[in-house]
Amino acid sequence: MKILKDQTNLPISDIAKKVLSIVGTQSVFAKQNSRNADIKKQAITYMDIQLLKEFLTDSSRKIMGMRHTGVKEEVQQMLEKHVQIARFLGLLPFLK
Amino acid sequence: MAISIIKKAQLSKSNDVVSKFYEMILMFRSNAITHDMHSDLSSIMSMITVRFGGKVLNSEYWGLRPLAYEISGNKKSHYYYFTISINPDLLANLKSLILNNQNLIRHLFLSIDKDVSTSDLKSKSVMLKNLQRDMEKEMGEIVFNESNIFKI
Repeated sequence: MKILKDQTNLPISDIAKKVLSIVGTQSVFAKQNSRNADIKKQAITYMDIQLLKEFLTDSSRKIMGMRHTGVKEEVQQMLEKHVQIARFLGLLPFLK
Repeated sequence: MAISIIKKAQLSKSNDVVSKFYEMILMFRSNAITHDMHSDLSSIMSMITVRFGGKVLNSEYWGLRPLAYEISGNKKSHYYYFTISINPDLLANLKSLILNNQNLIRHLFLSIDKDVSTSDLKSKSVMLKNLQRDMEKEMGEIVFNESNIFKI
């Protein structure tokens, strides 16, 4: 869809213009995936259970992947480490 | 409670090595009597400070919390949190002392990075801040006096 906009010489049909005005060029999940981009490495601890619960699935309490959490690679590694500590201490459950 | 004996050669080495900072978390049984818990804790603290030449920077009591799963027949447990500085070579002796205690369900030692300052270690932990915030939401504002703070 971006290519059509850039190439101004090419004629665009009226229907295509209407579609472009309604539907954005960004992906549907762009806002959802970037909601946790500001979280820093130091903020994640095993003591903050409410924050850790956001990154676990509701049904089986698994750790979500980076595609779904929307955090950086460093933060994801810290998250996996601290969830394991919290599970050992009985603050979070193991897999249901 | 068994007491591990340290040789004089180990103690002479301990002065040269720089001590490291650790987080110590102790979990007691839900049935444990408070008098027994405090006597156990005071013995552990005295071993750290007197025998191993370490320091206790922060000590907190997180309360009787429900467990996410049963641990050796307990559905709740008393959580105690400490930040200590101790020689890493003598940490194994401290662990052996803790393992012999029957009131303890579980214990954990975590090493702290060098970048963290001592003022941050002495301040309140995230867990205690969150507990205080949740209590204020339910009950209104609560003033924490000196009597609320856990001391040995």
